[in-house]
This record gives sequence, C-alpha cells and structure tokens, in this order.
Amino acid sequence: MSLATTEHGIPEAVGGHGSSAHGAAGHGKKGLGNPVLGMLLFIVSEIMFFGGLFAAYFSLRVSAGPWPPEGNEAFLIKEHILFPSILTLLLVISSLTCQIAVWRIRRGDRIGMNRALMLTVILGVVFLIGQLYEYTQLGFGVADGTFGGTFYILTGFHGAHVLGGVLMLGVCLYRGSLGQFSAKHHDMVEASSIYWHFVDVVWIFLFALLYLV
Amino acid sequence: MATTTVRAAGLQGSRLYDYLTTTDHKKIGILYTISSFIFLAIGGLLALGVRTELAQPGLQYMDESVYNQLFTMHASVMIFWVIIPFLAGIGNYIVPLQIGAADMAFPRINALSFWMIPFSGLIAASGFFLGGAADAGWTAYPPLSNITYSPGPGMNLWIMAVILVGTSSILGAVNFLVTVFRMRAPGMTLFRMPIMVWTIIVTSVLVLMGTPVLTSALIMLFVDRNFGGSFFDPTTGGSAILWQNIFWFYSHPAVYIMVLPGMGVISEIIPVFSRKPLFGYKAFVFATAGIGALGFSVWAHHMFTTGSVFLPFFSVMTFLIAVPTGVKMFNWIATMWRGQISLKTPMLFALGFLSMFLIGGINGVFSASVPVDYAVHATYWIVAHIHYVLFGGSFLAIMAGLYYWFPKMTGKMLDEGLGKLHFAIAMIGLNLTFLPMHTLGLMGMPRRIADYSPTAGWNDLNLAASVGGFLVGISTLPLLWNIYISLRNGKDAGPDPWDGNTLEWATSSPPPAWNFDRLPAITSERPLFDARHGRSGSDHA
Amino acid sequence: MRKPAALIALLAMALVVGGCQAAFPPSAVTEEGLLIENLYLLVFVMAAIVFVLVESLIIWSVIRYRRRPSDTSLPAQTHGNLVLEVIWTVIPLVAVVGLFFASSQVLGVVDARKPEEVAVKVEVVGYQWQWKFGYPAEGIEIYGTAQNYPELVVPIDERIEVTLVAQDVNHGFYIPEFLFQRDLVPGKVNHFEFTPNKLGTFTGQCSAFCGLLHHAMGFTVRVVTREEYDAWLVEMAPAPAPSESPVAVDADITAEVKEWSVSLSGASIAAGDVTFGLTNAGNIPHEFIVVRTELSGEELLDQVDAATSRLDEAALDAIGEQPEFSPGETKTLTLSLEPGRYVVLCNIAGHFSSGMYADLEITAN
Ligand code: HEA
Ligand code: HEA
Ligand code: CUA
Ligand SMILES: [Cu+2]
Repeated sequence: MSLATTEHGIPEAVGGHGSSAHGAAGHGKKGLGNPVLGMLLFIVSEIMFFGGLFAAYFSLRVSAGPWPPEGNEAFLIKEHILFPSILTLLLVISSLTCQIAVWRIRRGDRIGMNRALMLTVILGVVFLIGQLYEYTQLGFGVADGTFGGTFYILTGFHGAHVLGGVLMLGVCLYRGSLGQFSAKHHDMVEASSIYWHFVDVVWIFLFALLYLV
Repeated sequence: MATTTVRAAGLQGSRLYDYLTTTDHKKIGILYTISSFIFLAIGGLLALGVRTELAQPGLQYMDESVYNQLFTMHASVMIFWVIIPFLAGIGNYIVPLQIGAADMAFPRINALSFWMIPFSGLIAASGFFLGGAADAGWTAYPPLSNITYSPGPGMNLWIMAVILVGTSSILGAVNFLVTVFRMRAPGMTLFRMPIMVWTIIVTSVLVLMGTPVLTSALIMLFVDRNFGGSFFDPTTGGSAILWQNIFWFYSHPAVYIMVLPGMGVISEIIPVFSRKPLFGYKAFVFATAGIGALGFSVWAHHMFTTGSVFLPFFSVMTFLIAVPTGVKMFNWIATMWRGQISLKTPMLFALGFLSMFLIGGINGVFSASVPVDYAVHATYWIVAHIHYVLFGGSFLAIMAGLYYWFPKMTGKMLDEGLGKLHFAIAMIGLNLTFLPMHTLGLMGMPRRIADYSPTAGWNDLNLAASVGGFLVGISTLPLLWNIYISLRNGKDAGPDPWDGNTLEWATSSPPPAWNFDRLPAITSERPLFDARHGRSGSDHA
Repeated sequence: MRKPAALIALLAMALVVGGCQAAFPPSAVTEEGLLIENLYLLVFVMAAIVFVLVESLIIWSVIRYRRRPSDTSLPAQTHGNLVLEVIWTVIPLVAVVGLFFASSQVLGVVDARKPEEVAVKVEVVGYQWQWKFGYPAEGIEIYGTAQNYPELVVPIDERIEVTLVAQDVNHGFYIPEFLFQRDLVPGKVNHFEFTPNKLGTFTGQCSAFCGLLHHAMGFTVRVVTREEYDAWLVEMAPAPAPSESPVAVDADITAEVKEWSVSLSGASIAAGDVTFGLTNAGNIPHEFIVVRTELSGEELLDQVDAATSRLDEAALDAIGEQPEFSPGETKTLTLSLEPGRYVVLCNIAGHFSSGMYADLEITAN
C-alpha cells in the first residue's frame, strides 16, 4: 500500500526557498484564508460550549417535571413574549445587514460595507440594551431555582457573545473607515460576519427554547 | 514576528526581553517547556508532601485540610499545568518544523495561549496563601465543591484558573489545526505527515470539542457558588450527577489529550532508533482517530458506582478502546522487529513508555468491567492506574521527546550517561511507588484519605510507595544537572544527530527564525531518510 | 542493555511478589462478591496473558535486534503487513468482547433487585462525617461517631436490601470483602441487595471523597446467625419513646438543637448554677457548647476557620459542653455561669457556620 497518497495530485516540484514562508502568510493557497478557517474552528468550540449549557438546561428541565418548576410558576415568561420577539427580529435583520457588508466589500464597495457594518453594530447594541431592559422586567433572578439559573446563564452568555461580536464588527468598521479592506483583503470582515451569524443562530435556538417551547 | 524583533532591538534587545515578547513558535515552545518544568517541581513536591504524610499511619505532618489541598492541587497542577502544556509546548516547537512551515498560523495568539498558562497557574496556586487552595479533589464534585461545603477562596480561584488554562488550550488547538491544514510545505500531503503531527491534529480536535464543555460546567459551578445558582445543588432542584456527566464528558477525552501526543513522540523515536519506517503508518493514523472518536463515548466509566448511568453501553465502549490502542502497541513492536535498535536515552524512555503504559492500559481495562470496578473504584487501584498511564505513559513520553529534540532546540547533545541514570532511577522509583498501590487498592484502601488505620495492614506498602516517590523526585536531579552542563559545554549536535526521518532535522540546530533555508523533496513520510538513502530505500512493502 | 535488564528483572520480581495473592482481592463474603471475585480472576488471567506476551515481545526485540557494529546496511524497510495487522486487531477485539459478555452476566446478578426475596431492609444514611444505620421495620437507629464506628448487623444467608441516602454531599458505601461499593448521591436514593454467606465482622469505609474527615467515616458489618440476629434486635429494640415532654423537669432553660439552628427558651437568665434541658430535634448528632464571649454569634462567624469550617475551640472560652448526642435524645447540662454575654453553639464542622448558635445573656441577680 503506497503511503504517497497525495492530497492535490502529484507532489509539486520542490519549491525550495521560503516556500514555507509563503505558507506562513497563508497566501498562495486556494480556499479559505487563515482567519476565516480559524474562526470556523473556533465556532466549533463555541458550539460545544453552548452545547454544555443546553445539556444542563435539558437535563434540569426534564428532571424538574413541570416547567417552570413548582413554586416558580410566577416565572411564566411565555406570557409577555412580544418584546423578546422584537429583539429576535432585530438580530435577524442585523445578520442580514452584516452579510450585505460582506457582499459589498467583496465587490470592493467600501462605503457600502461601512454603511452596512454601521447598521449591524447599531442593531447589535440595541439588542443588548433591549436584553438588559428585559432582565429588569422579568421579576426573577439567576438565584431563582434551576429556571432562573438556566435562563440567565443561557441568555447572559449569549449576550456576552453579542457584545464580543459588536466589538469585532466595531473594529471592522473602524478599519473599514480607514479604508484598510479591499475586495481581495477583507478576511477579518468575513470572519466577523461568520461569528455574527453564529451568535444569531444561537439566539434563535435560545428564543425558541426559553420562550416558545 | 518581524514587528517583535524590531521592538526588541529598540529596547536594546536583551535575551530576556526577547523571550518575553517573542511570537516565534520555537521560543514559545521553549517557554512552554520551562514553565512546565517549574510546575512539575511544584506538582511533584506537592505529591511528595502527600507521600510523606501517608508513609505511616497517623497524621504526623499536617491536618486533613492541608492534605486535601495537597492532593487536589497536585493533580490539578500535574494535569493542567504540566502534562497538557508540556505536550502543547513540544507540539509548538516541532509541528511547524515537521510540516516545513515558518511559524504557527497565528503567532500572536500563540504567544497569548502560552502566557495564559503561568498566569492561570499562579491564580490556582495563590489559594495556598489566601486561606486555603482548592481541596475538593481535581474532580471538584458538587455538592462538596459548593459554597456551603467549600467556603474557602481556593475553589473560586481554581475555577477561574482552569477556565483560563482551558481557553489557552482552545486557542492553541485552533492554531495547530489552521497551521497543519494551511501551511504544509509543497509535497507534504496529509499521509506524508509525521505521526506526531497526526496526533496533534486529533488532540486539537478533542480539545476543541471537549474543553469548552468543561468551561461551561465550571461557569455553572461558579454561578452556584457565588450567585446563588442551583445547577448542581440538589436542595434547590439542581443535580449533583449533572456535574459528573459534564465534567467527565471533557475529562475522559482529556486523558487522551494527555497521551496521544505522547504516542506521537514515541512514534517518531522508535523508527529512528530502529532504522525502520513506522510499521503500519495508516493503521496508526486510523487508530489515533478511532481512539479520539471512542474517547467521547466512554465518560461514564468514571460513574459506574453512582447508580445513575447506563452501564452496558459505557462498559462496552470502554473495552473497545483497548483495541486501537493495542494496534498502536503492536505497530511499535513490529517497527522494532528485525530492526537495528540503538538504546540511546530517547529510545530507552520510549521503551519505558511501552512497558509502563501497557500496565496502565491493562489495569484500566479491569475497570471497564463494571462489577470489577465496583470492587476497585475509588481505591488505590485507580491511583495506580492514573500514574501508570500519566506518569508511565504521558510523562515518560515527554521525557523521551525532551532527550530526542533537546539537540534540535539548543544545538547541544545531552549527556548519555546522566540520561541513562535518570532513566534507571525514574523507572525503579516509578514502579516502587505505584506497583504496590494495586495491592493497597485491592485490600480496600480508599483514595483521598489523609490517614489510615495502623491495623489495616497497609503500612509497609505505603512506606514503599513513599520511598519510591522520593526516588522519582531524585531522578529529576540528574536531568536538571544534565541540562545545565550540556547547555554550557555539551557536544555540538549538528543539524541531524540521530539520522532522523522528518523535516525538523533538515535545518540547523537550533533552526533560524525562518526555520528553513531550503527544504528537501518530500515524497514520503520520511523525506530525510529518502535524501540519505534514496527513494528506493523507502519502497513500500 | 544492562539497565533495561536490571529494570526488567525488578519488574519481574515485583510481579512475582505481587503475583502471589497480593494481586488478588480478599476472598468475598457475599454470594454476589464471589461472582465478582471469579470475574476478577478471569480478567486477571486475560490481563496476565496480554502483559506477559507484549512485555516479552518488547524485551525480545530489544535483545535480539540490538544494532551491532556489523550492521552497516539498512534492515529491510517493511512498511506494514495487512494480515498481521488484521490479526492483532481482531484477537484483542474478540478478547474484550468476551470480557464484556462475562461482565454483563455477573452484573445482571450483582445489580438484580428481588423484593420478594428480601428478608431484611436497612437504610444507610451518610453525612459529614459518619453514618446512620436504620432498620425501619424494627425502628432501630444506630449513629456512628468518629470515636466509635457504627456496626451494621445482618443475618447470614438471607437477602439484605440496602437503601442509600446522602444527607449533604456524596459518600460511598464500600466494604472491601464484599468486593462492592455504591455511592450515596444527594437528591437521589440508591439501592443494592446482597446475601452474606460468611459469619464474621467486616470493616467498611467511605469511598467517595466527602471533605475534611472523609477518612474517618469507617463502619463495620457483622454477619451473624438468624438466632443471634433476632436476639440482637430484641436487645436493640428502642426503649419506649421518651415522654412527650422530653426535657428534664428541673431545667432552668431549654435548648433545641437541629439542622441548622439552636433555639433557647429564653434570651437571658440569672447567674448561678444554670441547668440546660437539651433536645436534639434534628436528623443527625449535634453537640452543645456554652461559650463566654463579648461577641454575638453573628460576629463569631468571622472567626470560623475556612479550612476546618469549625471554630478553634482552643481560642474560645468554653464554660462547658454536652458532647455529640443523637437525634431524639435529651440531655441536661448544668454549669455555674457568671453574669455576662454568652453564645451557645454546635461546633461540629460546618454546623456553626450553618447557623447553629444562639446568644445568651446571664444577668446578675
Ligand atoms: C493518560 C491518561 C489515561 C489513559 C491513556 C487512560 C486509558 C484508559 N483508562 Fe483511565 N483514567 C485516567 C487516565 C487515563 N486512562 C485517570 C487520570 C483516571 C482517574 C480520574 C479520577 O477519578 O481522578 C482514569 C480512570 C479510569 C476509569 C475510572 C475508574 C474508576 O474511577 O472507577 C476507567 C474505567 O473504565 C478507566 C479506563 C481506562 C481504559 C480502558 C483505558 C484504555 O485507553 C487503555 C487501553 C490500553 C491498553 C489496554 C494497553 C494496550 C493494549 C493492548 C496490548 C491490546 C490487548 C489488550 C487487551 C485485550 C486488554 N480509566
Ligand atoms: C501527570 C500526572 C501525575 C503525575 C506526574 C503524578 C506524580 C506523582 N503522584 Fe499523583 N496524581 C495524579 C496525577 C499525577 N501524579 C492525579 C490525577 C491524581 C488524582 C488526584 C485526586 O484524587 O483528585 C493523583 C493522586 C496521587 C495520589 C493519591 C492521593 C490521594 O488519593 O489521597 C498519590 C499518593 O501517593 C500521588 C502520588 C504521586 C507521586 C509520588 C508522584 C511522583 O511521580 C512525583 C515525583 C516528583 C517529581 C516528579 C517532582 C520532583 C522535582 C523536584 C524534587 C524538584 C526538582 C526541580 C524540577 C523538576 C524543576 N498522586
Ligand atoms: Cu463520606 Cu467520604
Ligand atoms: Cu476515563
């Protein structure tokens, strides 16, 4: 059995000098840029992180029987679902604007990208403020049994990720306004948008789980 | 990287400053090694504290609370701040060289991951000076680890430190994967990569998928302790078993995180010192991947006695893991078979790994049998298992790697005589310490006890174990001395002292900042062998 | 070459030494334990074969294939051999699958629940850091202390059902000669059944790490004949429950201790000989210490040693104390107290900080 199984055809002629230096820069190779691949891998770990929290949520919810558990019936948040729905909508829209930013820069349209990014950041901030407001309205806290605990740890850490995403996009916006991105070089925008979409998807799961089911 | 050197020069680039600010994977690898050594000293001395107290019945030197801190921190330090970083450090130094890259994909993140390690280590250790370090065992089972039963600050510090060190691993894993997938030299196809690189890939995937889950559990525990959460608090609707499930979902894969790169090291050394290619390269790759995959389906074998897990599934999966590991064991032996073995120190430690890890693996399989585990769980039998796999396995592999790559890292050969002395004392000490623990376990000596009855019949074996523990400790002294003198006036290594097979031996020792001036043709998994003996030499049977 | 040889010799020695009986568990004293013992032997034989085989292959190749000065040309560069690799994949596979089925057989019996065959039901409660053994049907309760371990008495050759309840943290009910242990997990009730088939007293110990005095959670199991067992039951039969007014009549002030509070019938009392009427209204043993201090109980909390979660009694001015007494028990404690401020408390690890204290004012008369 030959070990010389090649990944892309016959081994290239020996490049010699600095062929690896090229590698270091991550250029001269087709496919994803290093930051994008890195972000995708990092998101795998993020999925596992939320996976852990979700696992806790499910096992506690199942073992609790009625949900909210006895004594916590007052916490029924299904009642006032309107506001969080609006937040959800905002986040979904922001995902869209974020993607628009990517499309724009791919076509080299810096102004368009900056506009879209700006919009995304604003929506993100609004979401965060809305989330905080929501917290003040709920009338229960992280210390209120497994219901309060799971609710706040899930939404709280999602919020933290939104904040992280906002900061990332903010940096993109800043660098964008300095005109540091071009149709060729905008890996950071690509990476940040992937992250933003991920955060958005997580929220949709959360929303469905915490408010609807 | 360039930016750093400039800045360093700016501040009249002292060697120290250079290392403190470096983003060069080689220097970072060396930093990892140094930090791991220091933590080894700490973790080891903690262990010697444990052994000193257990040498005879009665509480002679400390009270229970101190003892509990000692064994908890001993394990935490050894796992999170010695073995894992040590292997990450070796990978950091070797992987880019072995795939013919100039550096890691994200040099700055690489530096960040390193600096998180000593920092987090200090946080965890600071508990000793702030009114008591963590003392709930490295497994930190609630409710014991809840605020009610562990009110001290140590537990909180421990949680924060482990979250930090975990984050460092995750960043490192991303870095390794991107580096390996994107920056291989031309011709370095996946199936021509050194096994070391393969094991780092699988390990990184395990880290990526396991460590974040631990982080989530630690955060929930932190909320329970400090913000009145009730995730793991049965008195308020939480579940104590939930912690065990989440913790082991990480911590079993973690044991393979701690051994797979070690197996990679062994798979680099044995072929070189047997002058033969690794037997069954592909089988080895698949076995590694198989262990990684199975590793996520056996966690509850740590919970057989809780009466809350589905026993048959986890039992059979645990048994199955013996098979891919066996494949590796036999591949190593077949590699030596009909070879020309030279017993240089790296090879000695590799052989030590084979025979000691064999013991650790086999006594692990005992526990895979649920009823047998009912008998040996939470006894010193398990402590014996832990150390035959982690010390006899991971740690000996690390030592083998250290002796093997030291010449590459420093340009100096280590002294063979001192190396063999280190090996001999370590092996005797290791077996003197941990072999008797099997018997102690069967006799019913539980783990994690600060004191035992003088009439239980455990005295002699405990004394033997304590003597052995100190032997192991002493065995590190020839190593340190060896490193010291070799650095000062060791023999020059030259680029390729061992007739190596892989790319790291194609460049000078130590390599230049950019690693390679030119790369040999890469047409098999042994480019340097081919360069030495011609492609024909490595025709595939 | 010399070094590995020496090492191998040592290993072999250690193994031979180990080999004779040190490598085997104590002979079991229950029917279930016997099965586990045999299973252990089976696994051990398998393990021994694997160990000897692999270890000797290693040693052999090291000795036989050492590089000699004459070895100038390369050895044959074999990269693999499919047949061999299949063989050493399949054989271990068969071996472990075999072991799995053998284990499952035994497991089925060891974990079996047969309510109809159960002759004696006992309840084991674990708490930091001792045990309560209860015989619900007979109304017998036995509390252990670190000083004298509790003893579980069971009749031979009858099926015993054990119910395991954890009061605070995880504990482990482990008897080496049963070759068995099962955890006590808070918020979850565990069970197991066993059939002792050897007379005698067997020591057990807590196997799940439960904090400070984990090592002090010892106990014994005494297996007796049916006759002895019945006699023991009679002897242990609870004395007719303490009268409705449990507190001794001549008490000047009464104190009720339980988890987690100490409640006095009054906040102050005149100096002189004071008799406390004590009742343990809790589920675990408590103690009662009278401490003279200018601080209030609240303020004393700061002095709890985080490590031991107790107050350092040496540092306290303890006037007198009623040592650990069991739930339901009543005691009287008479002390002569000068006027001043006092705190009464229970200083068993964790109890004081959990709220077991009350302030007491002694007034001049
Ligand atoms: C490097 C770390 C490492 C490694 C590699 C392993 C490997 C294995 N471990 Fe271990 N384990 C630990 C570290 C490790 N373990 C630690 C730290 C704990 C304690 C945690 C704590 O509670 O503190 C633990 C605990 C632990 C338990 C829980 C025991 C208990 O608490 O009751 C179990 C139970 O099944 C187990 C099983 C195994 C098995 C089956 C393997 C297998 O992977 C071993 C496979 C290898 C071989 C079998 C040898 C080579 C194979 C052959 C030669 C083929 C032929 C063999 C046969 C046919 C048998 N381990
Ligand atoms: C890689 C992991 C690792 C390593 C290497 C070791 C090494 C050792 N371990 Fe440990 N151990 C664990 C992982 C490890 N251990 C784990 C996971 C547990 C479970 C904990 C728990 O239950 O929660 C455990 C538990 C454990 C126990 C059981 C405690 C208990 O249950 O009550 C004991 C008891 O003897 C013990 C002993 C030892 C000894 C004597 C060594 C010796 O090998 C150490 C020898 C000493 C050194 C190697 C250091 C020597 C260095 C110097 C003297 C200074 C020189 C300077 C430099 C080196 C820079 N260990
Ligand atoms: Cu109770 Cu350990
Ligand atoms: Cu495991």
